[in-house]
Amino acid sequence: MIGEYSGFILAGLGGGAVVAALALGLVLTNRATGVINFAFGAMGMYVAFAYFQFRDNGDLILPLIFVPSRIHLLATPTLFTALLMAVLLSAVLGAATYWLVFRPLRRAPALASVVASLGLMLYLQEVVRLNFPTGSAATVVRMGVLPEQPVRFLGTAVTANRLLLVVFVVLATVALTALFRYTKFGLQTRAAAGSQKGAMLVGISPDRIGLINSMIATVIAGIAVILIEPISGLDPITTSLLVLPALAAALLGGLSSFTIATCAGLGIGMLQSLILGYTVRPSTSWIPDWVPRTGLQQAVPVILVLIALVWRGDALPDRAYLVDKRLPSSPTPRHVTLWTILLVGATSVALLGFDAAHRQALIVTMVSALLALSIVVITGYVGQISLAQLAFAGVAGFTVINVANDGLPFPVAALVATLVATVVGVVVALPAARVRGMSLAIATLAMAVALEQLVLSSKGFSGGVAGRSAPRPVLFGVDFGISARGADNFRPIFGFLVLGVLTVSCLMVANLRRNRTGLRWLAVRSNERAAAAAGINVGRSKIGAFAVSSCIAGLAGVLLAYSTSTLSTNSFMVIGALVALALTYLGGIASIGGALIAGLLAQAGLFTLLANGGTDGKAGTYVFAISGLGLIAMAIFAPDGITGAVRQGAQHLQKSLKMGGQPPQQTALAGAGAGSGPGAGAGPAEGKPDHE
Amino acid sequence: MSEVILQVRDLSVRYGGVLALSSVSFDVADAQIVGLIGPNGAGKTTCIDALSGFTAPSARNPSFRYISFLGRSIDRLSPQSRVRLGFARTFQSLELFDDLTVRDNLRVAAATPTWISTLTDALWPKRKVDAAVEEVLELLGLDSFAEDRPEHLSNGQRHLVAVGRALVGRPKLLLLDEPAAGLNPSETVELSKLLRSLPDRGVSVLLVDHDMSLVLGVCDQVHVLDFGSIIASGTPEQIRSDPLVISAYLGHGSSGVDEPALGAGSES
Amino acid sequence: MSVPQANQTEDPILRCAGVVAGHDGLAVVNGLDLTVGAGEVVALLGANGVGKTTTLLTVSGLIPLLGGSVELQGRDLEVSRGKRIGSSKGSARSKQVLSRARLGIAHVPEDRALFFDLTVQENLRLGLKRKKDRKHESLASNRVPSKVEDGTNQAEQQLSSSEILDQVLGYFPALTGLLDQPAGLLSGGQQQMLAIGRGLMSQPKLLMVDELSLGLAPILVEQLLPVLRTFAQTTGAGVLIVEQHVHLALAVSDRAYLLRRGKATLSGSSAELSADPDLVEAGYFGE
Repeated sequence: MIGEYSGFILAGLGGGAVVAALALGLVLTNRATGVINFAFGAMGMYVAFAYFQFRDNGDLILPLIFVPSRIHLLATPTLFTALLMAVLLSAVLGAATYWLVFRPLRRAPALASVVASLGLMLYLQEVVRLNFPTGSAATVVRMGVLPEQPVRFLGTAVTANRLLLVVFVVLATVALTALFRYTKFGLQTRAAAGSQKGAMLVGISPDRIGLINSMIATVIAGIAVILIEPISGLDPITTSLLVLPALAAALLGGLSSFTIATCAGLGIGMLQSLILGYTVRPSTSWIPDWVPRTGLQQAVPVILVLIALVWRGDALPDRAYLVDKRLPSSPTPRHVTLWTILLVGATSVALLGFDAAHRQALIVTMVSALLALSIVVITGYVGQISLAQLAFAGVAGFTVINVANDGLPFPVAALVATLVATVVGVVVALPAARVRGMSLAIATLAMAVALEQLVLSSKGFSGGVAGRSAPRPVLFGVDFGISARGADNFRPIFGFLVLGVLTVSCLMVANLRRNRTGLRWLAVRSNERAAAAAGINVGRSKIGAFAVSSCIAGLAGVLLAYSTSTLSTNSFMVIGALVALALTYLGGIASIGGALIAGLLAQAGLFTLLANGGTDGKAGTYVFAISGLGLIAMAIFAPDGITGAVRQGAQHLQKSLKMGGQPPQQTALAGAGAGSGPGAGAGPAEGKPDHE
Repeated sequence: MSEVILQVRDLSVRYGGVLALSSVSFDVADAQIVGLIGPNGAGKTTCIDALSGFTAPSARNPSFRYISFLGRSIDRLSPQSRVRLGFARTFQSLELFDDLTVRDNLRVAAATPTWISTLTDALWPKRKVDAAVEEVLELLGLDSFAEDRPEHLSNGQRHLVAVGRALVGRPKLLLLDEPAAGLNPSETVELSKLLRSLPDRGVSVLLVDHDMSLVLGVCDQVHVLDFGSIIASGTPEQIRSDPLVISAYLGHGSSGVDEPALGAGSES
Repeated sequence: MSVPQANQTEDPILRCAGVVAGHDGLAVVNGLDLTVGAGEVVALLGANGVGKTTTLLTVSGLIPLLGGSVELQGRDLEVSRGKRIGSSKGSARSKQVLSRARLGIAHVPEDRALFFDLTVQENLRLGLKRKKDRKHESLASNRVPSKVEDGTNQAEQQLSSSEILDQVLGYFPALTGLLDQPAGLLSGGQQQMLAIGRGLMSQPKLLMVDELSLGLAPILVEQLLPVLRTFAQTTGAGVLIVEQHVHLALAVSDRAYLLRRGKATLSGSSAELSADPDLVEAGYFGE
């Protein structure tokens, strides 16, 4: 009995060690650069792929697209040369990501660095998928580094590589602790973490500090992922997501203690292994069948993160918490009626005129825009980075299918499902209201994983891998179903239903934004202490916004359920949530127009369809890699997103037109009485202040 | 003497091992301007934080009333509930909403939300003109900047926005934390005029500042804090001549250096 | 004054000529001329927003110079002049700051920029220059024949780091008992001492202190300001202070500049300016 458990526990040492190594790297980069790098697992993943490729045939594959990325370096690579190559490659990768991505974002708000690191993660995953032979095509023989024969440890058999991995991590922890405590470099790193300005004024280069620490961190991550391969395998997506338990461990260490992070990482790995071992044991019969076993294993570290975050959380930030960073600008919606008529008109014409393929893309676009709108509300307006929106949509999607199949008529079923999503959103918001910034991003990501693993993966709820299908939506005898035979498929009438829901949602969000509710949201986003002093119940405002936004996400989920023949859990995986946040940021996270553009850019939306048409499908191949790069670029250069860039462009254009085209007298008038004349210069919609 | 609206009794606040505020007691009466002065680190801001609910008092005897407002105990109320009762405060660092225009900064504070308001806001497309907001904008001379964002204003105007945001909810008691910090002398004179007009509008003021001339020039009653305790209380005239105050705040031999500052206060 | 007068014929410690500077390309300082001589304490006076702090930030390189020149002992401080347009952010900026810190400019900013998590001793040690720079400096001063022959400079260059620490603690004995305290737990006055002390650790040629009195009780300010005076006199370094309390500033400085709208509208010896308070008053209240 006890022997059985200790076997499980020791088997988890390997997984725990890699989690601990990644956690060490996260703590190190956070202390040196103030950034939490969601792409950290992906960076280790790429290094490991490159290592095994090189070890096999001496080819170095670079993480680049559109240029030749394969370089043949050595005819007969050895263990030593391959490891040397991996260390150098990790160091270069760490340096490059710091210099190109995180250094420009040093002073940016948490959202920008979350988005940039998501972009990096997306890019690395895609580039590995594109450049390395994976899956069934994998021809690379992965030669492990460490001996794998079993040894006796504490009376239990365990493979040597697991123990050696632990030794590696413990040595790394001791070395880092010593580096920080006893060296001048460590002192300088701690100083730069405290005050960048002070560091510069005494002659410490923050760039040097950030660069060297990023290199060290990436080397640790790279080596750890290489060493774990024989135990856990290597996969672009699952390996990248190792960053989640690592974040849990790093957070338990307060993002500053190496020792606690390592212990927590090892603990999480052993706990996961124990849970898995316990739940699959035949004698464990008390857990009902519908509980997904692997889900339980994945969810535990996540629940730990949540507890740690809420434990450390605080209802209001203290005096030292300074928000001097610029958030994406959120302009008051203008010319709402005009825009509504134009867009609804154009979409209606398109629904009636397009062929089936384009109709499908348009419907996908609208549903995605609705999901993006929910992100605009919670993240753009209230500043709460939520990565759980897609999970809310999933809850609503499967709920509507289940209750409709139980006999509830269409609109009632849809309402019930939306309500359920709203309630789940509020339940998530209750603890989330106590944390902010990067911690909230991690907390909601943890929630999303918990929902995915425990609820959406549950056979009883979602039908498991096979998925479930919704009955046709019928309202007052009219069939709103999407499917039909042949060219009539993707029926326009379903498109109009989606258009109606999207239009009403956008209008309501526009109203909220213009009224006091929206002002309160922006006030909370801007400064929570000041908001409380202005009489705003900050917690309740956040919960209210979570309710509105999860309600919209629920609507998107319902429409998604009715728009696919079979809804499966795959539509709601965490990676999809990351992409959704990323695309919304790309569009413009704090404006309704940004949500609409995000819809256009969505996978299988209008943009990819048109781009594929123009490039014979090649654009589709690179779309994720390119949008990953686009995200990084946007986070650095244009935090207001595409809509912000367009708005600025229009303002410039308008200014130069005014300067050139009008007598100076009028320019002076327009300057003096800014906004006094409604309807003056009704031309371009942007850039004109609107008034009562 | 008019009715006491704020009663503070035996209020202590501890940060870590430091007693930032030690058994402080004082009153603020209706339509009164009360000053709280003292050297840096004496506990002035801590006192405002404790009164407005941002910091919890360290000693908490549930049956004792540490802070009473309009006759009821508010010890357990959240900051926003205290605002609803008639509190308002400013911050030393202003803490304006940088994303919002000046008018919207005030609109945010103008009305308290209800659960229904989110729903009505979603359905109601037009924004209502708020009389209280427009009145305060005019009072402070901010109407011509109403559509500007705070970052485009001068330091003095930003201070006015902060005061305006506190006034717009029609508070009974206004807590001002260093409103003159960083203002130039002429702006300070304007500020003191504004402060003196507040009691006529039914607003009592607790003023924390280390500009002696401002505090002694506008307050009816002044309390001097040093190391977390009140070491002297009285009218500005009494405080001016109190030897304890002079040694704590001005340092000994406060000759030529400090005289002009005090003089300026009495003449303006 | 114990400072050798001969030095005034040489390059001053700091010379700003026609300096234009400001945030986001908007000139706050506009055509400022200013010098700080060896062993001199110079005060920058003026109402809020006239560009006093901006001037210090420009000299230490934290914000870009838009026009004019800044020289330290006759040496142009703007590295890679050709590229300076648009170099307001990122590594170009930090290079400017680092090179100036290493050349001997110590800037105590308004917010003091202390390392709150580190101890007083660690804060001070970080103020030390790199050995490389210290060595470089002594070589440079050997090559350039200096007329300062009072020996203090020579002596200082041979000091070990612990001797420098003792020297700085000599200026601020109050810090001696606090060496192992985290800086974040110090009182406002102690933090200001630490910030200035950290600046002194680098044995600067130019020490700039912004709003020393901010948030401090006047009695503390009266104790701290004379330290700057002593430092300038004993080492021959230049000291530039920005100070709201005009009378305190004039009492401790040799000369003062009154800034209005980004320019020096009035300058003169502090004694002259104190004797004519109306002039200074006019600078604050306008026409």
